[in-house]
Amino acid sequence: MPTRQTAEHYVGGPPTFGAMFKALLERWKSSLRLFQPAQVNSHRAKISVAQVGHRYANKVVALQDVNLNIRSGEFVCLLGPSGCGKSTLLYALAGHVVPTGGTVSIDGKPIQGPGPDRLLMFQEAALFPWMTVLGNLKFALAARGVPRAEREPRAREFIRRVQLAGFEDTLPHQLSGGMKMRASLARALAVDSAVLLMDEPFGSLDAQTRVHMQELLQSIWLRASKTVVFVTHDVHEALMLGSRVVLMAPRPGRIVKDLEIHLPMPRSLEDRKLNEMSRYLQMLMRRVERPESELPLPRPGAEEEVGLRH
Amino acid sequence: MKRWAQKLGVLVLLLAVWEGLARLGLWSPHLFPGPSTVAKSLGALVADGRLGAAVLRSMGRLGRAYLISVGIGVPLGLANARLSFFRNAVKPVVMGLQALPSICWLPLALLWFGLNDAAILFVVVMGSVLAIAIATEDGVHAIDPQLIRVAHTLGVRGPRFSFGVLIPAALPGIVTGLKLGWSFAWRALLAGELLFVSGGLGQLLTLGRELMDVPLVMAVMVAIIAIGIFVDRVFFQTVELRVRRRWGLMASV
Repeated sequence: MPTRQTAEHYVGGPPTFGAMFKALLERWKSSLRLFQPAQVNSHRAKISVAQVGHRYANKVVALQDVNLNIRSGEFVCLLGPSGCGKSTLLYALAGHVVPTGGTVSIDGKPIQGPGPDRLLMFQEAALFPWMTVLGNLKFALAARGVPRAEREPRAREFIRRVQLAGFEDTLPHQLSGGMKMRASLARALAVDSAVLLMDEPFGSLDAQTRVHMQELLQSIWLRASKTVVFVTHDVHEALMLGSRVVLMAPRPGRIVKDLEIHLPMPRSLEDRKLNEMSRYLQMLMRRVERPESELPLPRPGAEEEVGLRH
Repeated sequence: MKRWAQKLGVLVLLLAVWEGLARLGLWSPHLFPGPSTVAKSLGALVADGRLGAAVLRSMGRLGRAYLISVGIGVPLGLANARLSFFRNAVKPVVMGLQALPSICWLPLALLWFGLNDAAILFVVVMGSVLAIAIATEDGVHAIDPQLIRVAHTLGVRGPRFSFGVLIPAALPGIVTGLKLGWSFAWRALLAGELLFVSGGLGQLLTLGRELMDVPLVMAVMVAIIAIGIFVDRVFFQTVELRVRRRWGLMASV
């Protein structure tokens, strides 16, 4: 492969500028081949967002003309800086926010309010504090209509799956932040909804715990066939977890890029390609964070050199 | 251990000062008896069963009235918090009536119910039901909105929501309300019993006044304090602490 040959070339004398640049160009191109713009037909989509706009009471335009179609079984990451409307879009999918314009449909039917078929997970674990971990899960299963005999074994199974076995009878205030999140995840999985909506669920965890939770979520998603919509502002997290990344921009909230990630799963944060794709996305994010007028002028011809074109 | 010793030490000191002042004879011993005299009087009351009978009578009234208060107050508070009709129409009435000191209900109660227990029950209920309702409502408002959102997301509705989520989540506030309601009920009861003599601890106090028996009056006061402390500390405080601990509201040591 051209990349490897050029790498071995470094072992000799100092590389020429031209050779280095060619290597960089090849790496960019091969990485970018791993990004494919997503094209999903709204008729075959599990979740369909059509021309959705939302304006809050204080006249802030949270979303403007958002169109998004999500296939069943996809892991879609909504990525963007704060204020880009990603949480608003997620809450519209959940049914907690009724958009002022456009429609959101699941399986072809427009949604009407929240429901357990699209379970929303927040940044806080929001476990019921007077119930044990097992109690929390059993309560959720009871609400779902699961017969009494099935509740306990099913609850225990999901507690085991999130690696929280042994803590069934602990109260939430006795658990650490990461463990609370795992319990919340177990509850969400036990309810067995087809769609999981997650609003930066790992945002309040420390870096180590966050990595563990990401790996856990990925392994669970690979085993089950759930559709997941995951909101984050962390590019690495989006690339680690998502089969598709939807980049959003603020003022007004809109979708800027919709890309499928063709990296094999399970992924690792040390993956070189992942880091390069991350740099590309970070550059895009920086661009959309500022209004166009403040954008620093790029070096003329820089975009052509690295093969990036809009 | 040290705290207990400190408390005991202060108590003993106060008793000693009291005894000292009484012995000094600054005031007539009939008007200002020492703790030993009061203790003797208290012993006599216990021995001839008058104290026991009075306590039973008073606590019986209080218990019945309190249960009625809780039975009305908690649902009322929940309704005020959750139903818009109650919030708009009933709550202002509740807030307005709360301004009336509970004992002011006594003349009306005597006219309505006559000279019997029902009148005192009415006064005690009116004294505490509103406090319980208001504290319950505050308890509901203090619920973390995230919990409500999660409950809706999980599809928890109807009675399962009211009894499984709303009331348990509001329980810390409700327990505070119960404690407060008890305190108001206790005061309303004794005020009622003092003004309208019909057995119970209030009657003992009035008897002491009529007989000009200061040790008796003080002895009954001591008994009232003891009951109040017992119920408040031993019962309500324990319940409140256990609820708060389970709900994770206690700061971890």
